[in-house]
Formats: sequence, C-alpha cells, structure tokens
Amino acid sequence: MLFEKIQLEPDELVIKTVRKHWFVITVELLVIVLFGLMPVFGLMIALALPPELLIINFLETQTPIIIFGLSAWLLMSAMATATAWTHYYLDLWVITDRRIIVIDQVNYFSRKVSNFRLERLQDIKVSITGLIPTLLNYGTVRAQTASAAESNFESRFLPDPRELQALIQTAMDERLQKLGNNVPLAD
Amino acid sequence: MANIPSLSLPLDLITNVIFLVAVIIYVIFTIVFYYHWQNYSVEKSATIQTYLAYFVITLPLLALMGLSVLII
Repeated sequence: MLFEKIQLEPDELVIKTVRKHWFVITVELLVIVLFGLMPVFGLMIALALPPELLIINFLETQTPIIIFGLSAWLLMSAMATATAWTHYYLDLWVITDRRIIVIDQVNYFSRKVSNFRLERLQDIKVSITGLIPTLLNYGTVRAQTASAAESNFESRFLPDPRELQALIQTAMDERLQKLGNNVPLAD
Repeated sequence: MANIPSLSLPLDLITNVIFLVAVIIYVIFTIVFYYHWQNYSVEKSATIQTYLAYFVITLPLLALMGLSVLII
C-alpha cells in the first residue's frame, strides 16, 4: 500500500486525503457508459426498422458474430472505465501535519509524486472559475514554496478548495509554531 | 488491370485471431491494473472492491467472446 512506500515520519499524522471532485469522475464514467451502449442503441434502431430491409433476418443468422462484437466492445468499455477509475482514485493529495504529498497519476505509465514541507510553503491560492465549479464548489489550488519555481504545484478540480486552503494554512501555522519559527533555509 | 488474386480468410480464423489478441491485451492490462492498485492504493477495502467489480464485469464478457468464437 502507498503509505508504507511513502514512509511517513514517526508520529506524522495524516490530516486529510483529497481526491478530485466527484463531478469529474461522474462525467468521465457517463461518457464511457454512453460509448459502451452505442452498439446496443444501434441494435435497437436496427430492430425498429421495417422488416423489408431484411436487417432482422441478418441479425438472426449472424447472432454469434453480433454477440462476439458486442462483448468485445463492452470489454473495451469496461477497461476504459477501470482506467478512468484508477486515474481518479490514485490521483490524490495527502495532507499531514508536516507536509503535503501530491500524487499526480497522469496515466498508467506516468506518475508524479511531490513532497512539500509545510514550513517551506509560502503562499496558497485558490481559484474557482465557471458556472459548474461555482455551483458544485470545486476549483484549482496553487501553492508556492520557498524552493525553486519548479517545485510550485497546482491541482485542478479539487473539492471545497477554500476549506482545503484553510486546512493547509492552519496546519502550516501549527507546524511553524512547533518549530519555533525556526524555518530551515531553502535549497 | 492485371488480375489481382483475391484473398479470402475464413470467418472463424478472423474471430479466433481477434479473440487471441483481445485475451493478450486483457492479460497485459490486468497486470498493469493490478500492479497499480496493489502499490499505490491507500485503502485496502477500496482495492478489493475495485478488483471485484473489475473481474465480475470483465470475465463474463471475455467468456462470452470465447463462447461465441466456439459457435462461429
């Protein structure tokens, strides 16, 4: 499992794990389901056509081939669903009382894991743009660290970004207090 | 135009090849899928439920493909 691989420090406490908003995965799955059901709709249309077109006759004589094609199509859709679900579920933010771990599952063969210590965090910005994000309360979170510019990080479609911002801010303040404002210098 | 020899492949051979390719793709995909969930998931219960859903949906479809290949 992931937490064993990340190797949290002794006494490090996971405050929250955040995934993208449910709307993102719902839309993706809906598109895949519609894509998967396309041949079923096609068959229904074919069955509704007048018998003079002999389509029913064709469907009756070629049933095994139709079942074979339909199964292959649905199998492909099921694999696409598994991919979408994997990317959604394994793409996450882990906020601990010491750092933020951002795991970006781009695709099966591309995965980025970034670690940011809370005491190095300088600024955290939130933006909610558009009608649906405003209504469903999801948006982009950008964080700037004291390190090089490449280590700044950004994630889109995060749910309740303002609450997340407040949570990180609180964790950061507590961390700084604990360290007695002894912030280590940037690399 | 010169006579081009026509090539006709029996339907059962074509479906057999497609089925074989589908099985190979499925096996490779399943290994990659399994590896990711085994290594990067944070919740054991979610991992087990995902495996269950995946195999409950895909294995019957693969069996149905195999069965129709036998009938063809």
